[in-house]
Amino acid sequence: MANKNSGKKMNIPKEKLLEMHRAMLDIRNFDNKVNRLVKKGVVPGMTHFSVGEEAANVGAIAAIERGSDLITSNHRGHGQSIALGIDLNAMMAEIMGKATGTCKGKGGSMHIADLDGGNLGANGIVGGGMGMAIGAALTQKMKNTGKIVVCFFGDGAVNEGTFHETLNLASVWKLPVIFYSINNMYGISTPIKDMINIDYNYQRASSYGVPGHFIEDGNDLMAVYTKFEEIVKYVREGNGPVLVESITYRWLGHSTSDPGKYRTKQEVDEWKKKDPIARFRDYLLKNNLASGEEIAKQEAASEEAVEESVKFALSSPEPTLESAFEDIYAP
Amino acid sequence: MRATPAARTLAKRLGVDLFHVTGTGYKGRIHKDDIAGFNYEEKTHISPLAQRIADEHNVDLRGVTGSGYGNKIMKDDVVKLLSDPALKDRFTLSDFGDRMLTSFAAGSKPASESTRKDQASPQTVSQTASTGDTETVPMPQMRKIIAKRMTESYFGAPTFIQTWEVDMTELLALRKRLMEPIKEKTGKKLTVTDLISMAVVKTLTKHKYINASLNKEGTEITFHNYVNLGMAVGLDEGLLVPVVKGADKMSLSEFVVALKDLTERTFSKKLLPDEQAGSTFTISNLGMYAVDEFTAIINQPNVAILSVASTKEKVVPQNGELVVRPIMKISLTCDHRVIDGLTGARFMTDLKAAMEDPLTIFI
Amino acid sequence: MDKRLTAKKINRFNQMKTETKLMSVRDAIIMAMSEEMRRDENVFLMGEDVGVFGGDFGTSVGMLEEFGKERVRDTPISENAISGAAIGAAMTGMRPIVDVTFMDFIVYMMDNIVNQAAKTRYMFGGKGQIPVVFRAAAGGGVGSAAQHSQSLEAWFTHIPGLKVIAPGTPADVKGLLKAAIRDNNPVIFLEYKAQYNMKGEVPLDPDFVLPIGKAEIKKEGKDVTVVTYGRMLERVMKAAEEVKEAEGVEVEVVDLRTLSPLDKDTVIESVKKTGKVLLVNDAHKTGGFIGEVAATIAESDAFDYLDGRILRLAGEDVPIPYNQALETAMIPSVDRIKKYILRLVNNR
Repeated sequence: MANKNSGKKMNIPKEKLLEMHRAMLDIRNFDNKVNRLVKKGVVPGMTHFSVGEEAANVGAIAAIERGSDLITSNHRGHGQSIALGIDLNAMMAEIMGKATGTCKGKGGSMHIADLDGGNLGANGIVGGGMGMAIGAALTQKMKNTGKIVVCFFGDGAVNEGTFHETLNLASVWKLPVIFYSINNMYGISTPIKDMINIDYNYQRASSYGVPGHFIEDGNDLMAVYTKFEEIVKYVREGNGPVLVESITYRWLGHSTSDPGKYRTKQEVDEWKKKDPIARFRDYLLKNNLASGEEIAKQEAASEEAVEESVKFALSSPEPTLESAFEDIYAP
Repeated sequence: MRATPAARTLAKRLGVDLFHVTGTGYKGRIHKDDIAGFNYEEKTHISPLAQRIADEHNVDLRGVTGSGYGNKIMKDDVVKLLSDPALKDRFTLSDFGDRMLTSFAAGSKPASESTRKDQASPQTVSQTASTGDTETVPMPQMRKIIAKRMTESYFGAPTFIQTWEVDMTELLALRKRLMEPIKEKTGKKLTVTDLISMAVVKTLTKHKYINASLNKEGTEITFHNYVNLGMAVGLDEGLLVPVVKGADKMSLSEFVVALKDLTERTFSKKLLPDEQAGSTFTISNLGMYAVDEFTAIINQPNVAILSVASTKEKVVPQNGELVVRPIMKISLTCDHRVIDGLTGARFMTDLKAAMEDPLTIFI
Repeated sequence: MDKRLTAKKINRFNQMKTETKLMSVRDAIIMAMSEEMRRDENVFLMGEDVGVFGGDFGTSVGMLEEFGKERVRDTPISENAISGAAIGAAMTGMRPIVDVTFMDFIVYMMDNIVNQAAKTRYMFGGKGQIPVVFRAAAGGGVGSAAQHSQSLEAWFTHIPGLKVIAPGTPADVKGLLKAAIRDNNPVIFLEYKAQYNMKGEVPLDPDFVLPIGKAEIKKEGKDVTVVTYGRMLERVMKAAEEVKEAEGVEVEVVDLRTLSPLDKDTVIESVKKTGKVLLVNDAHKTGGFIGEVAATIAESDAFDYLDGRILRLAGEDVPIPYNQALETAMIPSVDRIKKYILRLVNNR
């Protein structure tokens, strides 16, 4: 499997490359871990995993100003949260519903947020983050902050009415927002091909008067990253919104309660061969951008960090009964 | 039984048994006012403004049907009634004596055409059902209470009766002589009842067993060093017993005023609950009718009751000759648990003496 | 210009603080929004036809001229996008006012209001706030038929995280709209189409703000309590006057003003005082907000003071018909309110 950008000389500092590699490892290890914990009954609620989609997430986040630019996420938001650098301990605690979680145990996996870090939150409603994203972009425009917003969603969300309305309004008002569809080809159980009558969602862009971009191999981290560098620049310059789509695949089911009868084991295995992390590792090694040692160190550190987060979460206290009545209203 | 929470709360507080209260609400629901105005008599169904106007003009609206919801008397009804001189006259509250006579003689209430919207006879506020020869009415609440109390008294107390004849010559003469002075002093008419009452009260102070009370269980006798005289008053609907409190401390004129006031208010339904309780002895007077004698039922917790019959001209022997004298029979019903024949006889001896020589009352 | 703080100026200033002016609900709304937008640059108005057109009900006339199109934003017909954008902007530091126009269209905004705005702060464990006001023109009475005449406040009172306000006089409209704009939570603010022209004395003080969550006793009385809000307040007041004239019945009128959070204490105290209560609103009876008030009374301390049934008088459970006479008959009238009051007073 040829890496499209393997030959190119990229002026990306080594630090950043390793950062991205580590982020992908964290996502993989974290989600695999949570998956096992759910099966053991330690995690109480609904969770959705980004295993297999690491590059699609990390490549995009790496291109924005972390801590300054904003994102909105969807129910499959672990990848984005981790790529943005959320505290793994707090995240694991939240998934276990503990009081030390990012949302004091009251939000859960689908509502993980980090407002200070620019993460306006995962969302349990498909398309729920789109309105919020353009609103946040509106603020940046009205206040002239120069910041942009990336709105993450999947392939099925494009069929929600809100996609149409929000992209239109963003286009009309020239808001600095990137509509990013991570196409893993399935809703829960239905292939996207059966649910749209065009080939790819990015093709809709012209209907809204915005540019549409396509990342055919969403498991190629460099491809995702370079494309995003381009469109982030475009949007930050005030040219209005952009619609971008990348193709990737989720290895695990839609959620943990998914037996996966709608796709063949064959298909899953085929995609596993295109493992984004393995490919990036190879890319780094081949181009002497990192040593085998450094990579192994990162792998170990990542696993350890995830283990730590589990220990932290398990030993954290449950929220009190009173806390259920708090935080409903702002003072 | 339907009753609002407020009514139930108040009933509990005042110790009123909801069973006896007739509700003025929908489907007979008992409301707070029904308890508050609980006076052994049904409230006249009337709006606040209409009531105010009625009071100003001193009219009594019992039996009047109104044009409001559920036959409630509204302001317009009262205004209409007052604008018709004949009607106004009929309903204005007059002197006690006339009132009792006219109301008895007249029988049922006059149907005031102009205050009646439908053809139903405005007899009393409660509805009646008529089927040709018979008329069935639900037991009115006042009668319910009388029924209960009379039954308790009659079956609860073993009684005996003593009937005595009294020569009324002197008492009647005294009355004649005191009519003017009393009228001048109090503006009221002096009645035979007043004088008989004074005699009774005076005598009671000397007979503590007659002026006593027995508790419900029959375990405690209470002697009173005062006399609260209950006077049974008959109304069309039933019986009420207003009480003259502290009658033993009153002069004749004071007594006349007090009794007159109470009786008037009995008729106009303005008696307060505590003016109907607390008697130590009761008099039941049917002297205005031609009854020879009768024996009333004791008004518990009293231990005796005096029944006063009519005064009739009789031929009696006196000093070997036959003379005609006004003779009245009085009967004393006694509760044998507290009073024996001797006690009763002693009392009646003194009472007879007082009535036949009434000037001694004022010593 | 003499810039000294003269006695004359101080007097004028103090006078302004207490001065009132007779104006319509519409003008009170324009005044409230304009004052808040002058005071805080983060406040802005968005919605369909709010700019040049001055709002579907004339409630933003003159504002485009004063504040410009950045702060008075016309939008496409995209209720979902409008509400979503408002919430996103609110979350990131702005204070938007959304003109929903006809309240019936708020149904298109439900996901953003109910699933996003109401819950975000809670789900994020107390982080973040969403200071947004949704102004909706509710109720009928203008012949706009079933899909343009609804009062849907009951739905929103059911959602924790939202505040719902329904004032009934021009002064209350101004004071409470300003309060809603200054509040840091999502607020559903009801205006009544049939009352945009209703006039009343409104304080001119730019700091005149009424407290959210406090009812007001608009009329004191001892015989019966009538609890109401919004469009029906006017009718209830009229009915109260008329029964006083005709029958001497003294009605105590409790104007809720805010539905959520509900001022339970004022209602309960009034019911304890009179023992009789009638609840009136123009929304449908079944599932209407006054049902909530009735239950609150029945389960409270006031129960033992009740001297009659808790009566409700509401709009009929039918879609609002077009024909004017029919429509009028579907909403509580002054006559029917009087009838219900007398029913309570007569212990029916």
